[in-house]
Amino acid sequence: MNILPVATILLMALSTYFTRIIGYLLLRNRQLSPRMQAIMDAAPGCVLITIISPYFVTDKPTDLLALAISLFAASRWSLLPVVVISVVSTALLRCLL
Amino acid sequence: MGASLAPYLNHLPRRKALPALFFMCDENWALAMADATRRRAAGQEPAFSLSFYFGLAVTLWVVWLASTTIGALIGPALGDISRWGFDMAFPAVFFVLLKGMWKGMRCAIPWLVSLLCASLAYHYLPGAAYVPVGAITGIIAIVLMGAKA
Repeated sequence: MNILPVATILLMALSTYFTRIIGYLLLRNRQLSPRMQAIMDAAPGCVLITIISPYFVTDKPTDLLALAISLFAASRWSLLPVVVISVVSTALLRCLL
Repeated sequence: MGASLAPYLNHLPRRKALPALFFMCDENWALAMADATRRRAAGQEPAFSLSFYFGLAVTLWVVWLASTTIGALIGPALGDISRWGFDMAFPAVFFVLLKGMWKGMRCAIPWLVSLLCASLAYHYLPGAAYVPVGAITGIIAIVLMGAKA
């Protein structure tokens, strides 16, 4: 068995786990300043929206329309209906336009 | 994400918190944060429910593995599945997660800054440079807004 892929997987697993625990280990049982608390509250949303930003960079109007529909659906319904609405409307838009 | 969850984990011993963080991903983190906010508002202590979190984590893990396996097996036979619109499920899930964190228009301004900067970075910069760009510009926006308030 080749050692390189196994070592790569193990090291990636370790570094991934490290990113998950480092914040906890640093901030555990610590009183945060109000500014730090504000950053902790709002930063996760920034990261989430950053991850989906490539979807907004498109020259296809159908995809932008589908994103708008998904956003509107998310503002009123829960997870499962939103996913269904999003997938179906995207498929319909791509098929029709 | 681990840092933002840390204040909710203070009541747990490290031997429980560290394994819990092993199973953390975007989805169970966001839902557990939303659940903790709801429980705190309802006066339940501790706000963070470990059983809620692990219920999510185990379910996600099983479904994730199963669906990836199925996808790898039957995927090649399906051809280009983007015409079915499944790729749009990903941003849709994230929209719902973001709604769970919604605390008013003002708190969403840094999100918009992140989105705008990350989109520009994605368009003009190579690779995954858009991820740190979006995260850092969002945090800068939070700090600047905090200084004004």
